[in-house]
Amino acid sequence: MKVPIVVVDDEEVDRYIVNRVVKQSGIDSKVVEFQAGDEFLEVITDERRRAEEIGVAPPPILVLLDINMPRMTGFEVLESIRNSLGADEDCPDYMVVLMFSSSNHAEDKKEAYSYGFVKDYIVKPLTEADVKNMVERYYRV
Amino acid sequence: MEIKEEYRIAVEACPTPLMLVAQDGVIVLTNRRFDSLFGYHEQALWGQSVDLLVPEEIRDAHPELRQAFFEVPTSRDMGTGRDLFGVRKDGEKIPVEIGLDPIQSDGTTLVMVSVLDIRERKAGETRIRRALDAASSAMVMINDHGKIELVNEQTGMMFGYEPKELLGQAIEVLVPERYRRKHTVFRVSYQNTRDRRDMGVGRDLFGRRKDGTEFPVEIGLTPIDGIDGRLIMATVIDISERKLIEESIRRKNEELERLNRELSEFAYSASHDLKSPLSSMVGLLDLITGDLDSGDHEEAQFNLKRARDLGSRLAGRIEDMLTLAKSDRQDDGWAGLSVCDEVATVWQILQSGVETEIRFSTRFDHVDPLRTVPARFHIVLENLLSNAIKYRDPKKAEHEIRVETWDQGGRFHLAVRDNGVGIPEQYQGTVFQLFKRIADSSEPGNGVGLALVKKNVLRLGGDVTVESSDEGSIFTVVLPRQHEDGVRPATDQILEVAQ
Repeated sequence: MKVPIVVVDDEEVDRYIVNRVVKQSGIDSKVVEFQAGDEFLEVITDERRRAEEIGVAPPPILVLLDINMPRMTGFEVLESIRNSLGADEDCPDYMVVLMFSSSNHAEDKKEAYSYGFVKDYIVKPLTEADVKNMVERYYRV
Repeated sequence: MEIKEEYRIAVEACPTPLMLVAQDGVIVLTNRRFDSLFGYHEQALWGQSVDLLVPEEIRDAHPELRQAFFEVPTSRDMGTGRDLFGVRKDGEKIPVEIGLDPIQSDGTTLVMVSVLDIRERKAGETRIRRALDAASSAMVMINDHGKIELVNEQTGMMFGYEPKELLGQAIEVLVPERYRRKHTVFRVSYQNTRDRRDMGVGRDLFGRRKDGTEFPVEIGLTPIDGIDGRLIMATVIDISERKLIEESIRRKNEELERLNRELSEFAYSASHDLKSPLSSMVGLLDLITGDLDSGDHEEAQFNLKRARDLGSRLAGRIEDMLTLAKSDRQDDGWAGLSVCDEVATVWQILQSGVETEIRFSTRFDHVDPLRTVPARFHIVLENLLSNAIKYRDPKKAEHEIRVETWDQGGRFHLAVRDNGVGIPEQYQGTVFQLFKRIADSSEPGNGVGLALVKKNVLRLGGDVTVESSDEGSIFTVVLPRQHEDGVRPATDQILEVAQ
């Protein structure tokens, strides 16, 4: 089973672009969309609980997380992952988080990488090269 | 009158200018030093009236004074406490000190007058006096009872007194009433240390003028121990101007810090809010290229429309940023504004485009008009009211907006309450930031309204806060009030119900 790519982004066009680019790059991965950080957190918390109940590891996912979102920013999502999912500096091993933003600001990158489980910072728009790179580096989770 | 030869020799030998005067005022004897002090030839004064040597202005009164002396002849100084002058033959008035001693000669009383030429001493005193008066600081000398013994001209000017008015007064007369008691305690304890230092280091000191007004000062203390007691010289500098400059520098610094913050916010906004539609457009254009290559014209059309929408959004945001920047540069024309009329006018315009019924009420309890920058006030009110309309809660049966005003603590308050959707607590801190939006992009609003409100309220020297729950929101604007004429308007009315 291919690891699903989860995109958390309030901008519909950007989610559409991710869908299209992933498809074009030829990898056979499902793209799961969330338009807000809290909705995403709710689902993965559920997933994790369910996995714990039946005594298995939660299914691995690869997350593209936008920073600038209205209700909850990407950084707030990271904070919440660190706090509520029990992830310390290290990522919960089933989840690879890649920041996904139009900002190329050094300060944003610095803040993103201050979370140990953020593995990469992709500046929008997503390209096929980005997807291929992602697959090569993180798909053997 | 015959004078004994021994007297004559003794008087002549005395190093002090001396003369003997009879009761009728006739000069009986002078020594050579006396003659030369007053510019006469030897013995030329003998037989003349002593009034010849007295300044014209008191010449008439002098015989009476002389008579009084002879009635109770005792050794004493003449004219204690007054400045005495003698008149030389050439008319020059010279400052003198005069001692009077009665002596008996052949059964009659004579007075021995000794004269001290104090011209040099007076010249020295005048030099010191001028030096004190030339000082740019006020100088006040007090004795160990805290009484003012000496002040220079600058003291008079700084504190609004005639210098002589201050002599003999307690130093506390120059201290604001509320510090007087404490000052007396400090002054007494200072007499124990008597060190040369600045007064009240680290505290703000104030002087009090005769008219009761106060001004900030710096005071240096120097103890002076003289034959006439343990004196203290206080040097006072009026630092009003320096304080004003400090205050203006402080304000400028705050302004710079604010601008700096705004610049960082702008940089953040540019890298997120302006760049994000552009990035999406670039992404879409890549996809459109692919769509065209694969001949999917329908998808290409669809994506072109999306790209165009993003372009419009970007243009809108740039427009918003320019509006915000323009509101920074706006001329601040202060004028009286009727808040009641302004609220009515703004509501009239805003409600005309609303389909839903909204109950709008006001309660004005402030002194109208308000002195403000009408253009800025208008932006504040318009955005708050249009937000109240925009974010009404569709789940609620009745929509209500209420504007309340009041004066409190010398400040004008304006509250805009609504029973709209409200702002979750965690976002209440950021709602005033540019392009910060709580709702998803499908909701109305562009995230610039409250940033504009905040900026304009700050520019008016006030502040704006928000309280909110799912019951609704209250935005409260507080503005400084200047002294102005106005009336308290009739309160409590329901202005209008929009159709």
